[in-house]
Amino acid sequence: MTEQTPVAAQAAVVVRSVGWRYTYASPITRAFLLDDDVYAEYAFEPAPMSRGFKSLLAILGVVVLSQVLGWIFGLLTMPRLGGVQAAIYDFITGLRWFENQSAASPGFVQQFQQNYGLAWEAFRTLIGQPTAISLISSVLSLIVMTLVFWLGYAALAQMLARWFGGEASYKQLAGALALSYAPLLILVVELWPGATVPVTLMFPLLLVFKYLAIRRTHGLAPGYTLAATLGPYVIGLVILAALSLFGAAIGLNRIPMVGDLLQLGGRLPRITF
Amino acid sequence: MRADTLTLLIKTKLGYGWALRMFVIVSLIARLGIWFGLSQVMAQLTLVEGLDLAAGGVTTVESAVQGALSDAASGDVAAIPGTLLEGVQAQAAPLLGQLGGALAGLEEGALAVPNSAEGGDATAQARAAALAKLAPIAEGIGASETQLADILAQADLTPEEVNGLLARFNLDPDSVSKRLAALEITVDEVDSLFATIRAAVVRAEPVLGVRPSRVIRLGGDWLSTPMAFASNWLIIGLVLLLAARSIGGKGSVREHLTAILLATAPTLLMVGLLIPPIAAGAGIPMALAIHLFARLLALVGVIWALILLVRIVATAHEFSNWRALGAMGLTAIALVLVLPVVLTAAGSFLLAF
Repeated sequence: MTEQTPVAAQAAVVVRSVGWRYTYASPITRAFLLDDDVYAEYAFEPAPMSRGFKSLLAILGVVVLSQVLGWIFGLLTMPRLGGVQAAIYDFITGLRWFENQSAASPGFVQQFQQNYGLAWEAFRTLIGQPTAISLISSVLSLIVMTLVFWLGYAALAQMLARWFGGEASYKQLAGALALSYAPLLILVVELWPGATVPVTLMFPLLLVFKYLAIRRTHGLAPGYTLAATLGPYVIGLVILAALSLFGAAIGLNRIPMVGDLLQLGGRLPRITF
Repeated sequence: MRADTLTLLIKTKLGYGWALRMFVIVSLIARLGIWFGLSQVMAQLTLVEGLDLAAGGVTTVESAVQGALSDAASGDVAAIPGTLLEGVQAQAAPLLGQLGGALAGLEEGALAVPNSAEGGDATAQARAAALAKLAPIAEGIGASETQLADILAQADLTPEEVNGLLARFNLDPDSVSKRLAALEITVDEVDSLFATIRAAVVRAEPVLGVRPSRVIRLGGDWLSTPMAFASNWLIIGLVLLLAARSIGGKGSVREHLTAILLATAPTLLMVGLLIPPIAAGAGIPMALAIHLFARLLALVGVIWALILLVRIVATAHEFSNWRALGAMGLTAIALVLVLPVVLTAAGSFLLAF
């Protein structure tokens, strides 16, 4: 155990005198308030993964509930464009041009309906109007992506942490890392129509919480902890870049003439697969 | 700035929660000025009012043109310019009114509006040229260039803007005109569409009403302030943490973030920055005085926050004020110099073939 500095000793006196209010607070609240002891408690209990999973589900539950309620409140303050959409649709389908087109091409009506619906969906998104599709997709992606990221990130971070000398197991780290998603609770503010949480806040905040979880679980030095925190993102980016670039290259190579056109530019070597 | 208070707040776990609450309250107060713009938000036209105004404008132009045609048919050619002028004046009156309002609300910088005759001629020529480019569209809808200009003015659009929009979507006026003609829309059908849309728009108003909804959404914007403020401040704070640790700082992440949050307390003095100009009500000298005093207060707040940041970082990391100043200098160099250079170099390397 390291010796306390005079300032820390003074603070310890203050803590004793003030009392430890957060002992009775929920682990998620404690994690949200940067109490890093809670990560150690999670990591070193009998079933860390199960407890972490339950906590993560609780966080996601609160966020999803607030998103759904926010969607309902948002609807109350946004114009109901369904009537306008229907009126314009009726007008267009009543035009002679529409009759001519649908008579000339059998699939025209279906194609038009599809495009018309998509255009309105895009318009609603553009003006920031909540739609059922956007709500369902955002909620589903939030749940699925968070769970996938949690397990994937824990695996990569565990690999790096063990490499740097950490001794905790994957389950212990995953259990502690589940609590590091506590900043997602800030999204509750989006319950209020017009309120937004910037991604540029959420990402660094999640990094900080993950750093604390890894440090308390593996007990690494700050430099190694930072490397184990950022490493999974670097590895993930490299894998993503490889998939995107080679996927796009394979796709383009299947289109006739593309290789020849690029060759004409004289700037790229011929790529063959 | 008392050392014992700062130490107590930074070195205890309770301090972070307290600092977080203070940060939220301070940032909300600092942006209270947004509510001074409430009257402007409420004064904006609703969609229905905008449609009615547009309809009114179109009707005025139509009746002016019809009046002129009637004069021509009755042989009273001399009355044509007068009739048309009345229509144009009726059309221009709301715009002139808006211009007058804008002039009344002039604050600093607005006096630099170019008003020389040469500048005016050049602008008029450019506008006429832009309008001429849109002639095929006017033909496509069976209107004259003047009518098209009036329709655009009602929509707060200039011919230059429309040309820019068409260019952005790779459209030319001829093709747009052909498409419009291909639709075979009659004027009656357009009138019918307008009436239908208006009725639908009336029904489409938000459940809570247009203007109450605006107030609620303005409230949402105001509530987002702490998050928007924190998103910028957190990045700086984390780089400062790395800088402080690299020169021997001992503060933990929680202690450092508590310190960073506490340092924002003087930004409370930025409260006046968002107060809109009130020249129309209190006179330009008073508006200028308020504006300058608000900026002065904000400047004091920024300087105070910087001094507090030095002291508070020194307390969190248990080193001297000079080292804290050094850490802040390193942070500034990293964010302003190193990061852009590294990103540019990395980007150039990646894009080089």
